[in-house]
Order: sequence, then C-alpha cells, then structure tokens
Amino acid sequence: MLIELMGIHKVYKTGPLEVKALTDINISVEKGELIAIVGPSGSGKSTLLKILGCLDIPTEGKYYFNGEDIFTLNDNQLSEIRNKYIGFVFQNFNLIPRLNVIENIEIPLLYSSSKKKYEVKKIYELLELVGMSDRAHHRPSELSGGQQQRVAIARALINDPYLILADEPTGNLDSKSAKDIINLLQELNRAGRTVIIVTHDNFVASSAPRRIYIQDGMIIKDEKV
Amino acid sequence: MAIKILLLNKMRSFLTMLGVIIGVAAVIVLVFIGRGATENVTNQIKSLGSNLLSINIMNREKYLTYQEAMDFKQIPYISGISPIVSANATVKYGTKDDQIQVLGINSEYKDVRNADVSQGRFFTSLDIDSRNKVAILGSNVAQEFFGYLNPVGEEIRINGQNFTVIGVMQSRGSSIGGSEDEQVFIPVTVAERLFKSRGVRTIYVQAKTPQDVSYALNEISARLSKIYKGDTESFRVFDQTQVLETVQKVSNSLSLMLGGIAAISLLVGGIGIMNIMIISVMERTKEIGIRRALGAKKNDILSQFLIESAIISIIGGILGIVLAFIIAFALNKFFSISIKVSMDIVFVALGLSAVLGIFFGLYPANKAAKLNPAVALQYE
Repeated sequence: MLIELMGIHKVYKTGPLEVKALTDINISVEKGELIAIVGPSGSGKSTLLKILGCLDIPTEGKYYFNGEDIFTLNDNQLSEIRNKYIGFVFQNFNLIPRLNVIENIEIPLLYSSSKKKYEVKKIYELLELVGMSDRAHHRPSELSGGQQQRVAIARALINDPYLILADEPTGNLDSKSAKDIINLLQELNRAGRTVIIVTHDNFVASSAPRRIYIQDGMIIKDEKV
Repeated sequence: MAIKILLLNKMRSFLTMLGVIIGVAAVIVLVFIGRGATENVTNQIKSLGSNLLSINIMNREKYLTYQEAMDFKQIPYISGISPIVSANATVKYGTKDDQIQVLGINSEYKDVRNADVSQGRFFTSLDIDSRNKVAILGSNVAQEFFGYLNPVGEEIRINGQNFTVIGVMQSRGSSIGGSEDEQVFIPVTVAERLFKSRGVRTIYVQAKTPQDVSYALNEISARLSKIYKGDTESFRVFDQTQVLETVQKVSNSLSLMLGGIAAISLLVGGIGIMNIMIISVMERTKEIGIRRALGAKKNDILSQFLIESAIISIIGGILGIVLAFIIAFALNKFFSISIKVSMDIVFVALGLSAVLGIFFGLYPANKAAKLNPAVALQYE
C-alpha cells in the first residue's frame, strides 16, 4: 500500500471565516495504480493534491505514505520525501524561467541528500524518454506549452520517485499536446510508476482506470473501470 | 549559480551594490588620507632633527641667560644646545618695513634643528662670541624685502640697528612650531642686548644617542629644578620622541575615527542590500515554492539567498576597493593630498563587506526559507 488517507479534514481559517475544504476523506492507493481525481473547481481537489504531496497538513486525520505516518515528520523529513518519492507536474509547468532545460531538470538532484554521484547521463536519458533531447539548452520561454510540460515530467522523474502527482497537467495545453502528455503519463504508469492526476476534464479522467469523484470537499464516488 | 542570477540583472545588482561600493571606497580613502597626514606630520617632526629635547621656560620673572643655557653643555649626554631669544621687531629695508619675529640663535642651531642656508653662510661661533650684527633671513622674508635679488651683503635695520645679511634660510614650509620662512635670525648674544627684557625662554637640546635622551632629560630637569628652587611649574622639558608618539597616536585615532564615520555609509549600503533582497524574495516566491516542492529544505533556500547577498556585497567591496585606489591616487596626483596605502584596511574592508552581506541578507533569506510551500506555489 503506497498511500493511505484516513479521516482527512482540512479547514481554512481566514479571519472569522471558516472554509471546510475537505471533509472526511478516505483513500487507499496501491503501487502501480493510475488514478484520476475528478471534480469542478472549488471541489477541494487541489487541497487534496497538496496534502497527498506533503505540501500541506490537514486539520484532522492520518496520512500513511509508503508506511510512514506523514504527520509525525518534521519539515526537513517532508522535504526529503518530496525529493525522493514524489514527482510533481503542475498545470502551468512551473519551470524556472532563468534556467535552461537541463538546469531545470537537475534541480531535484541538487537537493537530494543521497550521496549518489550526479550523472548527466541520467538527465539525457530522461530527455530522450520525453522526446526533448534536441532542446537541452533552451530556456522555457523558447518552448511551447507541450514541450515545457514534457520537461516538467522529466524533472519529476529525475530522482526515480514512487509517485507522480499531476495537477491539471493538460490545463494549459492544446488538444494535441494534451493527448501527448496523457499518453506519456500512461506510459510511465505502464512502466510501474504510481500516477495520480487531478483534473476537472472528463476526457483526462477517462484515461485512468480508477476515478475518484470529489465535490464540495467530499468524495462522492470512487470507481474502478 | 548565484553569479548567473546577478549577471542576468546587471543593472539591479549594480544599483544594489552601489551603497557598499561607496561605503567601502569612502572608508579606505579616508583612512589612506588620514594615515598620509600622520606620516606627513611624523616626517616633519623627524626632519627637525633626532634625539631632541626642548626646554620651555614658563617663569616670567626669571629667564635664563645665554651663558646659563650653555652651561647645560656640561652634561655628558648632550651633543648640542641651541638656546633661543625671540621677540617681535621692526625690520626695515629701504622703504619697506614690517613687524617680524626675530630669533636670536647660536651656531649649533644648524645641527640641533637640522637647518641650513640656501644662500650665503650660517652663523659661526665667532659671530656669536663677537656679537656681530649679522642676520639670516627666512626665505619668505627675503622674497618680501628683496624680491629675486640676492640679499647677501645688503644692510637691513632691526629695531633701528643696522645688520648685514649673511644668508637666507632654506625653505621648510610651515611646520610644527612656526615657520622659519617667516622669521629673521640674528646671533643670540646680540639678541640678548637688543631685546633686553627677553631672556632665553626656549632651548633646543640634542642628545648624543637615542638612549641618552632620557638621561639628558633627567639631568636637565634636575638642574632646572635647582635654578628655580624646586618650582617645577617654572619650566617644561619635552622629549621629542614622546611628542612624536603622542602626535602619531592622535593622528591615527583621527584617521580611524574618520574611517568609522565613513563606515556609517557602509551600514546604509547594507540596508540597501537587505531591501533589495526582500524584494527579490517576494518576486521569487513562486520559484521558492517550486524548489520546496522539488525537495528543497528550509536551509537550502536560506543558503541560496544568503550566498546571493554575500556575493553582491563582496563584489561591491572589491569594486569599492578599486574605486578607492583610483580616487586616492587621483587626489594625490592632482590635488597633492598625501596618502599612505596600507593593505590592512583593504582586507578589513573586504571582510566587512562579506559580513555585511551575510548579516543584512539574513532577514530576507530567513523570510524566504519560512515561506509555506503550498502558499508560495500559488503566488502569481
């Protein structure tokens, strides 16, 4: 069992206002699954993704990731988990504009605490995998949306993580690029990686064999096709 | 990688460093100038002669006579004695006249005070013993009365008495203890008679060796004490080395104080760095969020920004040092301001700028490190 969410609640307090972003979320994820978390905007899916990615802590509940109780960990340990086991793919790619493709991909390597020797070969292998070998020294501003997203995926893979977390990965892409990216994610899943895609798009949702539907902070359906 | 960031925004980086550049340059230039002034003063004092003592008689009722002063020559530690009788007198040549300070000196003045004539000759012991009415003019006085003509051999009148000019003193510029250039010199024995109400109030003494100075000082003090019946308020004996040391200490303190004041501008420079770094952190909030998501720890973010501000500061320091040398040498060459280059202040300034960058970069770097990753990621 890679992920176990039990009784997760998240409440945001903005001054006197209380917003219930998530209410009683329970999800289990096995290694190698491909899951789409589907819901309209404001459904709490982004909040859920942040919690899954150890970027935020819930107000209540337990999160076991790879057997570890996430909420007993300190900031440094959480950073390490994100670095080693989780690869993020964001809707607006989130590449660092001043750095070129290679420099962007190597960032997780720089923060890695493992004493593994840094191999440039690995970066080129990933570039090959995502089909961006001929743009290694370009800046993000010189790439199309689809190309940027592919670089982002390569970056997410550099430390060989268990889990790929994709937040609306095709949100800023045209339909052709979107299809390419979805295919890429499916390929990664076929190769053994656990992939969770958060989306409001039903087409994207249909690419995953398991779909969790979320609305108003609660899971309304969790179906395997 | 920090260097790349700086290069990308050269203008902003430069403006950020400006405070540090100016601060460092100011500190270094001021210390160079201050130390140059110290060296100047030291050299001036040294050029007056070495192993020197000066005796000042404060007692208005009883001065020493020339003979009494020369009695000190009995002290074995002493190599030369130059007593002075001085007064303001009317000096006339042809139709020109002026009130000038006239000094009665002996032939030993030459050695003890490291003086000499640029034209003509100095006083001999014969002039002194025979009370010859001869005079040596200070260089500015010679110019005032004689223009570019040779004054040697000409007759001037001092307080109505005729004197023959036998020489012109070498120009020394103004220095500690008045300017010889503005004075007229006659034999001390003549001065005693001419200025009856004056006696010897100043005596310059030269000791044989540096070690003899303190012995000579003690002997002289003892004798003077006897002459003035134990009244130690009547006289002062100065050791020139002590004067030199005091002057150096004061001058050094002054130049360090100047540097300290300039250091305030360094502080302002540091604040400038802090402000820019705060803005930089704010602008890069999203980037910080991304890095944290990719696994950066708080310390990674902290050191990233700290290194940036340290580098800005150090580069500013280096540029400031370069600027300081340019300014210092320009001041020296075009405005004849004396400078003394000392590398210790350069290293201090460099170290200071590094510390400055780290200290003032700490607050913004800390802010960056403490950002919540989830919130930072959503920043637009």
